[in-house]
Order: sequence, then structure tokens, then C-alpha cells
Amino acid sequence: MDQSHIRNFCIIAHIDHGKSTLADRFLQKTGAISDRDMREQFLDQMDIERERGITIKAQTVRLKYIAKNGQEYQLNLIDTPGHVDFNYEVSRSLAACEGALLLVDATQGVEAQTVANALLAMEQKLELIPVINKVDLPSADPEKARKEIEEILALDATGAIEASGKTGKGMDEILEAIISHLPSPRGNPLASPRALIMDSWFDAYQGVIMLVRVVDGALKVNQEIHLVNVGKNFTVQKLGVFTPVAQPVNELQAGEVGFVIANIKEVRDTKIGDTITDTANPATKPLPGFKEIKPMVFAGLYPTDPDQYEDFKTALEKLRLNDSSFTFEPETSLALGFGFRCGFLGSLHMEIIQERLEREYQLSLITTAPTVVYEVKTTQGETITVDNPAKLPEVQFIDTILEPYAKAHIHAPATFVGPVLKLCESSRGMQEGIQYFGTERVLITYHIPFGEMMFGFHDQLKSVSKGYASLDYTITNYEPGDLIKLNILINSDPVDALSCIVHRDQAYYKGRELAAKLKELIPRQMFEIAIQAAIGNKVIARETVKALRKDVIAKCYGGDITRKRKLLEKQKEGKKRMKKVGSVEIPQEAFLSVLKVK
Amino acid sequence: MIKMKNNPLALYIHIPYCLEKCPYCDFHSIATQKKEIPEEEYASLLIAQLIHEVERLDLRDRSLISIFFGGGTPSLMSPKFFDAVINEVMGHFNSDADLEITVETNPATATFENFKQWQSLGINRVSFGAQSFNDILLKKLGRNHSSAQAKEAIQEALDAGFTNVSCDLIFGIEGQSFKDLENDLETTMSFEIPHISAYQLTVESGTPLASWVQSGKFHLPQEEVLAQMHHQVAAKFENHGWHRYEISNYAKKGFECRHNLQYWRYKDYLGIGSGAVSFMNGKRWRTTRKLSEYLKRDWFYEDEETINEKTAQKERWMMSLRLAEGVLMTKQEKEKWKPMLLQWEKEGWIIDLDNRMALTDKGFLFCSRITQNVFALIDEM
Repeated sequence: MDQSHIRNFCIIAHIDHGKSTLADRFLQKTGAISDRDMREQFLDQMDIERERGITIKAQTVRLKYIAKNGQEYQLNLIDTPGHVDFNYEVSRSLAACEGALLLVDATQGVEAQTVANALLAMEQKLELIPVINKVDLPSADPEKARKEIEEILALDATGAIEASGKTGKGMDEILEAIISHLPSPRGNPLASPRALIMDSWFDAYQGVIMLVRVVDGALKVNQEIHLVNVGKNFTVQKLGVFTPVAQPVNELQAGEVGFVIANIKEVRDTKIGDTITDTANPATKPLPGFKEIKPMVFAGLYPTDPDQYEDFKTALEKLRLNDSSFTFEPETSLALGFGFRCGFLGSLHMEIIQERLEREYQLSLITTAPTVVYEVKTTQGETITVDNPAKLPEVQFIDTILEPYAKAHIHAPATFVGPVLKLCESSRGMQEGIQYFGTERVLITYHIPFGEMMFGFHDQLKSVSKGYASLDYTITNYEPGDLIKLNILINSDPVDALSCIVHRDQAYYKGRELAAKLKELIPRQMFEIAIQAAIGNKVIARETVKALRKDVIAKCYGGDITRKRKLLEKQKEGKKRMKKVGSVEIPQEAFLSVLKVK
Repeated sequence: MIKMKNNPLALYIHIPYCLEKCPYCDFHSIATQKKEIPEEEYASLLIAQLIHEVERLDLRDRSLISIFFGGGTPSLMSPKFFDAVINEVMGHFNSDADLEITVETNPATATFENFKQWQSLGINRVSFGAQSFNDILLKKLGRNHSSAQAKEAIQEALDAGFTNVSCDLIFGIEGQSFKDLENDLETTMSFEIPHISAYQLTVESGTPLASWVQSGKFHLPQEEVLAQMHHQVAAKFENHGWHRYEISNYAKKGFECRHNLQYWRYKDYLGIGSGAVSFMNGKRWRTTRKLSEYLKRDWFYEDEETINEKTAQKERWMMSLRLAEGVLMTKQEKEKWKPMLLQWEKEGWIIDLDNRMALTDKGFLFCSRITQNVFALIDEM
């Protein structure tokens, strides 16, 4: 199709502002899906996505639309991932679009992710169409939403479309606005091909499938292609588009969106943001914006049952086939045995992977407290990266420890400024700005050690703001910090999996809290258990779990041995999620207790 | 399966009738008035089942060490009932010279006359469910007899000529003090009976007691108090010549309960009557608990289970660890588990009796945990 009849767009929205429902309506409206085949949130394919109401992988769908002017258009809806942990992926999906619908919930107004993604879209010079959604709800206040779009995002919202994904109101208007307001793609159809990889995944039958936006030239079946940043060549076997079912095509032309299958075995060869070009006739310059994505949060994952180690390894390999942003390498812990140190983009990413491992692969896992990656300058003049507190060099070899910092944008009603600032300050943040929009909304910008905000911060922010504040962040740089390692000893043995790196000013407090928390979590056993927190050799806190005096001692008459055996077996199974450290049984939650200390 | 005619058998006969259900009890029985109990019918059914089982399992002339009438409340049955059943049993087995015949007895149900008649029928052991000699505590337990009745019943059994008399006590009752327990122990010992069972009140799921505890209507003593009571009981009896041969059982030498030892030593038993469990030839099963079906001669088996080697190993340990004599270890167990056994010995939980392993008094208090650890070791084998 000629480019003037193509529109590539995405929907920018905060979580729960109705993005998926709106997308569902487009599918129905354009006849891509019959009402009979319609199911809720069609584009969110994974169970986890549907349950959590977030999109993890990017999706595209090509819609055929006959406009009021009688002409046929090809609309490509690009559904972007929707969470702060996936900022870079979002930026690459946006780069594939010329415009976006800025969807704002009429009952909620503009929120942090609306702002963050709108800013990203503006950076990419995308044309925005404001849509005020959920106007059918009794608590809807479209005027307020309109005002916020103007004040907070400095966008003209006079023409904002009032819509309801639920009732279908405003759908025609939106589709027409896409044709009239959004620019068509303007690539050079005759140049050497350049296509942007938006996402990729592994399919057991077809190998890696890449989701691409062709910018210049065209991709053809049997073409030899070159992946610029990876530096590898492949042959195109199959091209296609999602309507939303996969439909093969012979060619993807400039301006179009679709998928490419090229006998690629490893997802890591298809990096998000990379450029596909022709091997024989390569483009002179790759598409801008490519970044190597690195995991920022690390944790040790261990099977509770050592016999599951091989299954666990296989599961990780399979997951990694589909998610190149997550890494793993074998790790041994004195406390937990054989496992893997896994790297994630953020805490949500970690939860998702862990959940998929347990749910899809039936594994029972113990996770250690996640940590950020520290850079350590040693006294010998080396710089090493530390993604596991247990691997921190001895104090005498440390010159400086540097920790990652993030720039956090917090969007909140003005009434919650006090508690939000307090939270940021207690997380060792440095204020960079407070910007008021009208009298009701405020955007607070902080420079915060990422280690302080990678886990729990979001929940606390929600709790201090009664759920109204929202957060967006980007990792910016590394800075030296007065950091030390806090060790936990159980019956005098250091437990590597419980050690953590903390700021010196917080060490005493955290040591005491952590020991107290562990006392709560470790059940009484047949002997006394001493829990100590120590910095180096200096014990700074001690708690004791008193010895259990006795079991439940049931009588045993009447010969019903089976029932008694089964009861004991059941109790024994209940202990399986505990890990034995020396002779002490430590429950799974204890390894995450460091996160519960604030 | 190798037939072991010489492998002795114990016979359990279940009487699933009580006048009232005790709120803590989860044994199979129904509350009924005495005159409503279909005694003759039940006796004829037991006999029919016995004949059937002897045939089915090829038990003829097997040597028999015990007949145990348990319940329920067997003492509700008349001497005629016992006469009929015992006579039938004797006709099928080769009874041991020391054959033990026990009747579980509720103190409110038996009379001197009865005891006299039981004696003539060959019943040689009476086991009283006295539970406590404190009327307030008896009430808390929902027992239908008084302390005075219990004392009287025990005395009558002794007077009637029974030498092998046992008394069951329960401790850890809400409001029970150490002094209260001491009084119960003293009273029990004052009868000079050769066997005492003293067990901690356990909350069985599905019983009224369980829901009382759940709702806060009944308070169990603190763990420390219970541990203390266990020691109090053990010390008292052992200082006065009753040796602790099982976690909750104390006896004068030679008066250990042969029937229960059969369970704990993991040996064969046949159970007849509604709800009775049997175990032999690597199989366990239960005669239907549906009394109405049983009474229609429509009895069938429930929870049939084939015990594989590993499960048998676990069960053998689970049962034998309750005994002071401990477990006879196989060579493999002894070798493979050495590090664990040494550690437990160091902790004072077990004693190494040459080829046997036994729990100490301290170890008895952790019997369940230690058993679970053994299960884990067996799983790894």
C-alpha cells in the first residue's frame, strides 16, 4: 500500500486507563475480530498480562479501515509494553509510530505514566490525539482531564475526543482523527531497506519471530538480511502481518508493520531497537536510538528441592529464548546450594519471571533479596561490578563503592507533597524539582539511589498517597556512596544469602530491624537459634528464637497408621519451602526479609 | 507372599456405640441409648465377618496373642455378647498361652457383677477410661461419669479378681494445674494397678473440641506448661516403678499391653466390626464405617492400601520410635544415616542401643519431628 494510506499509531495511557478495552473496540469496529471471537483484552496474550492488567510484550495489529472519504486505509496499532521497568522497549515501539492516542481516564486525570510516555512520544516527535476515556462513568470529569492535559502536558486539548471503550462512544471520531490528524509514514521506498526491530520472541516451530516497522525500502521473502548491531546475516523465510491472526505476505513495504521469520535460533540475536537491512545492498546508516539493555536488578534463585536443579536450568534457558533482557548464570550459595544469579530490568520483571517459572514450569523456588549492581573500585586500582552482596571484596580491599542512581518522576495530588517528600528523603533522595500544575497536581523530581527504590518504594509511595501518586524512573548514573556490607549470622554461621549492602548511616537501624524480622519469620525449632547482625566482625544486633519445648504428641491406638503417616508426611511437605542452613530450617520469606526493613 | 502361620496375630474388635460422644474423641462411634444397641445382631455380624476373614485371608490356626474390644464403649455390651464372640474366635485360632483379652471400659457402665462374669469368660485385662479424678476437669472433657464412679469401678475390677488393670489419664486440660495433675497421678497410683496410659489432650480435626479451640471457647495450656507436664508424668511414674515403655504408656514389668505393642512393633492385626482397621500381608484396610451398611451385612472395605517397601519402612520407624525399646535398624540405615544419628545423639534426642535406636525422654517430646526427619532420610534412600 502506498504510504499516504498507512497510519502507524500506538495508545499512550497510564495503567487501568482503558488501553486494552479501547484496542478491543478497534478490533471489533474494523471487523478484524467478530463479536463471537472477541474476548477481553485480546492483545494481552499471557495469563500474567491479563491478570496484572499490563502488557509485557509488544503486539501489533493491522486494521483495514474505510474512512468517511471512501478510501481504504491500513491502520497499524502498536500496543506498547506498559510499565516503568520497560522504558527502553516503550521508546522503540514509539519510534515505530508517527502518532499516538493519548488516553486519559476521565475519572483519574493525567497520571505519572501518562506524563512519562507522553514525554517519550514528544521526544520522538509523535503527533498526539488526546482522548478522554471512560466518560460514561458517573465520576467522570472530562473537563478536569482536559485541563490537566493542557496544564501538565502543554497540549491543546480543546479537540480532545470524549470516548468510552465500554459503550463504544467516540470510536468513529477517533478512527477519523487518526486519518486526518496523524501523518503518514515518509520513508524512502526506493532506498536500501531499513527496518526497526520493536520486539522479538521465540516460537518452538518457527524460531525467532521479529516484530518490525519498515522505514525505508522493502523486505522480501528469500532476501538476505543483515542485523546491523548484532552483525549477523540471515535469510528471510516468511513475512507477515497480524490482523490479529498471522497472515503471510510476500513483501513488507516502507511504512508497514509486520513480522519477519528468518531461521534465527536465539532471541538475543534480535535486539530491540536494532536495524534490519539488506546484506548485499546495506543502508549507510542504521536507525537511531539503539541501546544495549542491561539488567539492573539481580537476585539469586534456588530450587527448594535440589533435585529440581536441572529442570530449573532448562526452564531458565527456555524463558531466556523469549526474553533476552533477562540473564542468568550459575551461582552457589553456602546456605542455599546450587542456583542461579538472575538479572532483571526491575522488580516487576523479576516478579514476572519468578511467577512464570513457578507457574509454567512447576518449580518451587527460593529467591534471595534483589540487589542493584554496584561498582567497586579496589585498592589495587581495579573496578569490579558486584551483583551479589556475598561477592563484595573484604573491607581492606575496597577503595570506593559506587551505586546506581535513578531520576524519579513522581506525579501526585498536591495534598500528598509532604508524605511523598518524606519518603524520598528517607530513601536518600536529592530533590531536583517540584512543579505545580494548577493548584491540584504536582510533579516531583528526585535523584535517588536505585537500590533504595528498586523494591517496595512503589508500594510505599502508593500507601503514603492513598494510591494517588504514580512513579516513573530512568537510571542515570553511578555515584560513590558510604556503603557497607551487613552480615547475618545464624547460630554463629554467616548466611551468605541474607547479607546485604546498606548505607553506613542506616546500618545499625537495619541490622536491628532485620534481626527482629528474622526472629518473627524463623519458626521455633528443637534448639535455640541465635540471629546476629554484624558489620565485619562487630555484632550490632542479636535476637534469639527460643527452643521449642515439644511437638504435638498424639496418641496412637486403633491401628489407623495410614492417617498418622499421612499427617506427618503433610507436615513434612509443609517444611519443604524451608531451606536448611546448618541444622536451622529457614523459611522462604526470611530470604526476602531484608526488603521488609525500611 | 510367604505364608507365616507362626507369625502371631492380634485381633481388634470394634464396638461403635457410646452413650455420649466425648467432644475430643475422633474414634468411630455413634451415640445411642443402651437399649437401642442391636447387641445380638452385631455379635452375629462380627462372627460372620470373622468366618469370612479367616477364610479369605487364610488365617485358620494362626497363633493369636490378643483380643482387644475397643470402641466406642465395649463395656456397654452384655456378658452374653462377649461370650458369643470370644467363643467363636477361639474356635478359629491357635491361641497363645498368654492370650491377652482386653475390654475398654467406661467407669459409668460396668458393675462388679459384670467384672465377675468377664473373668469367667476369659477376659483378663480391663482398661478404664478414667481420664481424670477431678470432677471439674471431667466436666471440661465432657465425660459422663464422676471421679467417684471411676474410683469405684477400678476398685470393683480389682475386687472381682482382675490383676491386669489399666487406667487412661488425659492431661493438658484447660484450667488444669500442676497440682491437679499431681493429684490425678497420685490417685491412679494408689490403686496399685500395673498399667497406666497418660496422654496429652490432642485436638483432632473435625471434633467439637477442635472448633472450641478455634473459636476460643477452649484454651489449651501453653507449650511450656505441657512440656513440664510430660516430664512431671514421666518422673512420677518412673520413680514409683512404672516404666515408660511407650511415649504415653507406663507399666510394671511384664504388664505392657501386648495388643498395642503389636501395632507399635508393626506386626499383623486383624480388625473386625464397623470401622476396624486391619494390617497384614503388606496391605491395610478398614471395614466400612457406615454402620447401617454393616448392619445390612453389606459391609465392604474402605481406604484399602498396598504398603510399598518405602512406606513400610517409614511406618515401621514411625510406630517403633514411640517405644522405649526403639527401632531395630537395618545395616543400611545404620550406615547411611550415621552423620544424622551422631548429631541427634549429641543433641540428646536419641540413644544408640547397639543395633537399635531409641528416643530419650527429651527425644520423645520431639517424636513427630524426628519421625519426619527419618521420613526425609528414607525418601533420599
